[in-house]
Amino acid sequence: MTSQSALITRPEHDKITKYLSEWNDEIIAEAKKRGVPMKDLAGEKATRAEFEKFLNKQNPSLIFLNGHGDSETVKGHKDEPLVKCNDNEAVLKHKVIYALSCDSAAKLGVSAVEKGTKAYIGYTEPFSFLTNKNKECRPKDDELANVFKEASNQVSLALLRGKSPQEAYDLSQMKFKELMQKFSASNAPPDAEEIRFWLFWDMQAQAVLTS
Amino acid sequence: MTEDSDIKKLILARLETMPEYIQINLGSFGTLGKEDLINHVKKGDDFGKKFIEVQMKYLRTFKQGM
Repeated sequence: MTSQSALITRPEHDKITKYLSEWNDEIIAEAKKRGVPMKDLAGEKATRAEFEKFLNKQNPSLIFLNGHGDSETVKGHKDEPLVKCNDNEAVLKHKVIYALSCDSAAKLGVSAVEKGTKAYIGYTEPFSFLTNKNKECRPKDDELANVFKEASNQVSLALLRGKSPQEAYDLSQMKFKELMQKFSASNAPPDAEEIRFWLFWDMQAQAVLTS
Repeated sequence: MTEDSDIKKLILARLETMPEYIQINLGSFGTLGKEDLINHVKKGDDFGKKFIEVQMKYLRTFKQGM
């Protein structure tokens, strides 16, 4: 039995958010497998009203935020701000957050942890991922994007498996390195150089902030 | 020839080998292709400068061994 519960937000209003949302199918399946109750605010449900309504009623220990963002904000459906620095980051108090979003660990994460968030894992710079423009209508079949999914999903999977935020971060960092090494092999595909560089970009931007 | 322009030439040469089918998705910077990256580096705008900085960090890291 586990005392964990989780909330996931995953807007799907453009190409980038559709990819990130599909990546999270694996996270939802893992939560189901482990018996971790998970509220899924997908697509049009990823609004600030729904987000705060759920947090006011329930007290999930883990929150997985997916979507566009900047240093002060993580956004939901049609880029509506869900959490904003010096506005409502107190809703994250006592929780562990993984924000798959650009830049938000730079300011929002810092402010959230100062205001009681247990841990905030995110990115201090834009999160990048590669896509194959011939496969963008089928995100699940896009092998380029799936490399980045593997490294990112490591965080949420580790947290669902009971790892600490620091351990989840360390495992994701190790996965980034492992993938970079895999794409350094002599039989690596012709796009290996680009994959390695953009994995490096994300690895050095990923941060874990703890109270 | 300055060190900066040598570095820019090195980065541009590396970008020339990038396959055309690759798209880089970078949040607020949008989706960039090979020509977009080359233009950012040539113009030396904020993103171009950041890209060069991380490329140099990446090359140094790989030279030293991961």
